[in-house]
Amino acid sequence: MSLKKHLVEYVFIILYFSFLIYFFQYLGTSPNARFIFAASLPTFYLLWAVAHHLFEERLKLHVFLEYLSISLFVFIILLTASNL
Amino acid sequence: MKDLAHFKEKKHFKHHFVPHKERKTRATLLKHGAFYFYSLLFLMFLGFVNVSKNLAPGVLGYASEITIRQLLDNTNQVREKEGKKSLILSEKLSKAAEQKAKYMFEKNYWAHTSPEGVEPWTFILDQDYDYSYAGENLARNFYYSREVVDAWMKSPTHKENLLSNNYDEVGFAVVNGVLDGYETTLVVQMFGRPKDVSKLLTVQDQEKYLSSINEKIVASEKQELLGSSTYTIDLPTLFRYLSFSILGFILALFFIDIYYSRKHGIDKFTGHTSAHIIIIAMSMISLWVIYRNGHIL
Repeated sequence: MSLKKHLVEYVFIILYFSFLIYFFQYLGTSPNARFIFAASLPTFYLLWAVAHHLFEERLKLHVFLEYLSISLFVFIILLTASNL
Repeated sequence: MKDLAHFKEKKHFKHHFVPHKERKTRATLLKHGAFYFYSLLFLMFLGFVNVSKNLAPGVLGYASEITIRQLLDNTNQVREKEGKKSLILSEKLSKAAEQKAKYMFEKNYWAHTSPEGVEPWTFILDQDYDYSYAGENLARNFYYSREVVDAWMKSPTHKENLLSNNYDEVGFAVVNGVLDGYETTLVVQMFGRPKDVSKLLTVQDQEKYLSSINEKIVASEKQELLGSSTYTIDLPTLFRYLSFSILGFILALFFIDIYYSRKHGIDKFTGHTSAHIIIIAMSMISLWVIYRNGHIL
């Protein structure tokens, strides 16, 4: 995949994450919103990674596990932070 | 032989932080196993927190740096800047504010008027404060007094209350408790002007009251249950330092990964490092937002 396409995808991810964070600022006091926020960031990241690597035809188990482990880590950190 | 073993050991240690040139893999501390370990570390931290809360109540918990003295000073500073006279801290208005905050925790709501229709003025009148003008500002989830006043100043309606010429006195309450299932700090600010001007307070009355109150946050329901009014360690602050340190460390390792791989021409068959950098950086921003997630009403 070309550098330009990668950059477009990264900008898309950044915009989506920024939107989520902005949205959270207004609904952050609701427990459900906190959970959804903590889960949506890593879930989207994992889905994006699977789709992206499938499209590139380089989705392997160890690549999937790499994204899964990072997503899980991010989820745990965000969930803990928003629950303390 | 000893030198060779030492060299291998040194080389092995280096690969905790930089990619493996021969194996074409990431640094050991960036492999998925390492991330599972970090996750486990945080889960253990959570477990430790829960156990500590039961075994050593009053040590770990939620605390903020907001004090009534600072809120009063910050409020009067913004008024002075706009050429308005300073407000005098009223014991009655502070008690009304405290009752309001406790009532919100009790009824689990966050509004000027309760779901049953109880208005802020009820709490003021309950303190035998007969007013000609009264107002209320609310804030929650803030850590510092300055942030609370700054947030009110950014909102036209709250700013109007803060700078109004109709008020002579003010009362504050900073109460910790559980709202919507989460520990939080509620700040209630009540403004007033007594109907009977002869009852106007003086600076001496204010100082007398200030010296009589504890500068610390008023004990929350939960803290009272735990048998302590203050926590030794503030959990969110502790977690903030821990999470930012680990995320910063991981972010640095990913940058090293890019630099080292390019420098040594290592073509790894892994996920995208740039994408990982984005998610880690976004997580840090999210944490920053979570910890700055104060609301006003």
